[in-house]
Amino acid sequence: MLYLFKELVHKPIMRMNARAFMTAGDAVLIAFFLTLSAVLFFLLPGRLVSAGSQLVIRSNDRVEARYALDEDRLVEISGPIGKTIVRLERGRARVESSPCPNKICTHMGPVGREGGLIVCVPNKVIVTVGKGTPEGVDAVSR
Amino acid sequence: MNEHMRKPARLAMLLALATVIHTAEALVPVTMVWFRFGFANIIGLATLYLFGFRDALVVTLGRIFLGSLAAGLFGSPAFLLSLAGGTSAMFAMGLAHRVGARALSEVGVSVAGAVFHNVAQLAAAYAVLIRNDGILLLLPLMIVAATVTGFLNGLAARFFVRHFQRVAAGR
Repeated sequence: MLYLFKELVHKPIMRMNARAFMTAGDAVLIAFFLTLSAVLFFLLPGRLVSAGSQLVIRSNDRVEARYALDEDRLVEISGPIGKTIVRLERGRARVESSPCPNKICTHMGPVGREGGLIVCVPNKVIVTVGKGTPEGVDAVSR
Repeated sequence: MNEHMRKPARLAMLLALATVIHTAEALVPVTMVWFRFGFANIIGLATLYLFGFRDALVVTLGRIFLGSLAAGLFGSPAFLLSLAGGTSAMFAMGLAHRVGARALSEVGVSVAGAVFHNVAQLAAAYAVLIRNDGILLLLPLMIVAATVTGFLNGLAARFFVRHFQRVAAGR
């Protein structure tokens, strides 16, 4: 510990740059990994999370309806404070109008990717995008 | 000290040190820092430079076994993740040390080890814990975290190796 301290103190500040810390090979390796992670960051979500094909609408904790996302339609769901209108359009769904005071669900915009979710808390409406065919369980913990 | 007992004694000391660091790090709450810095790997890396690959592998496996026993995690999924990560990190570092001996310093070798540690850990988590493609989304994040912690640990290992050699030479 004391040695580490001395080492740092004895070195002039000007030499404490990246060059003193690592070789060119290290820098190349680090740059490679950072680039790789940046590429994966942009590529992975598109590959892993595919466009969903089924829309599930829950009202008051109950599954109200399921629709295929590839047909356009207008859905009315009644909740505790009124009617929420969900529009399915070009493979995406959005809450078109809602009786709730803050309109957070309306401002969420459209969802279309698997796992997409719009929730209207005041009117107890939950809109989720899922896979077309149910595949049993999501995960198994062993 | 008896001449041929010197190496086992030093390795035992390194193993003890690595185990203590490993156990201490297991106590850090995950809610504060969701990833671990892998400080225990400083000792594994230093052993690689001081005594070679085989001894470094023994120290790493030893500290994972002893550390999980001490932390009460032996045989748990966390232990499996440690094992998968530690072993592949050691192999990656051994390879990087041998192949890139000229081009890479401790920092580069450490970064390679850290990245492989995290990738292997994610693969193990996918295999035994969460069979959901979603966790692969963590991959870029894990690689960045590994690069940062690998860099820091590499510097620490360099200081450690120098200090160790100085003390060993001075006796």
